[in-house]
Amino acid sequence: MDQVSDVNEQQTGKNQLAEEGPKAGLEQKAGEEQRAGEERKAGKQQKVGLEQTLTSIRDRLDYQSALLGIVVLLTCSALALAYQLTREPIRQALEADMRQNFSEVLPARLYDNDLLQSQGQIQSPWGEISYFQATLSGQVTAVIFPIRSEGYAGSIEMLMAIKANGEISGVRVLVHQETPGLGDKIEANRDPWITGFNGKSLQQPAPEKWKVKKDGGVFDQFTGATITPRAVVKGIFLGLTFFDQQQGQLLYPLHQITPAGTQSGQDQSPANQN
Amino acid sequence: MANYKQMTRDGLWDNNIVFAQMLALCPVMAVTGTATNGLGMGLATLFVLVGANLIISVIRHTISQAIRIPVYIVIIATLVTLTDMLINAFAYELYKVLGLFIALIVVNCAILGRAEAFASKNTVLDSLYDALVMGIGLTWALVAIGAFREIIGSGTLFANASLLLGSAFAFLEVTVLPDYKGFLIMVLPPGGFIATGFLLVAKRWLDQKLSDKQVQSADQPSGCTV
Repeated sequence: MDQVSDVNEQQTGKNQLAEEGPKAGLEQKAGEEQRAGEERKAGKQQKVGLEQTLTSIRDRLDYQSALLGIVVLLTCSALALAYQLTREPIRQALEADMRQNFSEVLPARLYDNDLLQSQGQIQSPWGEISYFQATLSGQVTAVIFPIRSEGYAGSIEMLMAIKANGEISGVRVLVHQETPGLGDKIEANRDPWITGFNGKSLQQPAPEKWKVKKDGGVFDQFTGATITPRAVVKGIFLGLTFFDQQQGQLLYPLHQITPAGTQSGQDQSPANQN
Repeated sequence: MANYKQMTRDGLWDNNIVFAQMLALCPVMAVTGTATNGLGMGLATLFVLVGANLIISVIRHTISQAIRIPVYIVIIATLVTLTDMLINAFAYELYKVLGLFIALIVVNCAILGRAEAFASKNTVLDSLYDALVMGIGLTWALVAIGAFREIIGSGTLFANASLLLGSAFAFLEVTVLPDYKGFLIMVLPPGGFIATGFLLVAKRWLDQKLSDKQVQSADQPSGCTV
């Protein structure tokens, strides 16, 4: 702290020198300045005047509050502007990311709709989630929803696509904190293990076989990492069970394609009244 | 008149933010799992550093001593948030890797340190130059630590560099040790401490060698060896 205050003192000292300098040298410089022309002289005096005013008011409380206020106002405006400018690109980047994830869990031949446009909300054992319906010429072919499981180091977030017949179309791990080199084999780009779930359902294998081999199930664990694959298997099994219980809602068409859309709306209202 | 040669030397080596000032160690440990991440973090910090030094040196006469710290922090925090938004919007793949750590730049004391120690007392041009060399010094330090950890930890160098710099830089991605099983701890946080320690030793050893050489060439036998 002493050093800092020393520096401050030195600085104020310098400022005073800088102030006094021009005053003392004014007479000497007078000849020069006359030659330099009227405009520049005026500018210089203005600048010196400004610095003097600044030095005299810089330590006043109202000046300090006003300065802080102005700085905050300016920075907030800059942030607001940047937010407006980046909001759309950020939304697009997020959507592109979602579509990329969808394309990994669900083959493109199974749907012809915009998945992001057919989104619904549902209460799941792991909280309120959004689910996305895939339709092919108006028929619901699959549903995609996020699942979550507790891994070795925090929760593992996954995205799962289940076909209307209850078969898994694909699962991908989106976020996890598992040990690099051991548990991270659950990522599809490190190991094909996660694709082993494609085509599985609650019937195939039987529910009691939905475990890693070490626990008497059918799924491989990794050398040196059992907790992570166990968590993934458990999460996927829970996802399947959830789908089984809720498939009435999950597979009920969220909205139908345009010409049939109005009809289905009319169809729906009497059903609701009943 | 500032001595640009000395400033360059200070920023890149003698007074390097990581290896001499020992500042900014939080992002150093957190993101340097690969050389590419180190480079990305270094460049993001460089951007904030240059912006902060520029703005603060421009308004240095208007800031009074009593409120200088909050003013600096607000300016730095704004620049960091701007960087965060821009990377999120225009380099989303990189954002997925660095996103968590960009916010860390705001607590990077090196930036506040440059604002307080340099930009608040020097002209705009000098402050810009100082930010540039200090930022480059930080970037090379992060890349060095990242490369050290990446080669030992996973046997590659600049993996995913094309995500950061575009596909033109895919040639940077090298597999140094093919069929390497990996050395896990170097990729995990402890590896950051180990790598930084070894590189610090290397730098100090080099400095010592150089100063010994200088003493010898000046033909002044040193009285004591410390």
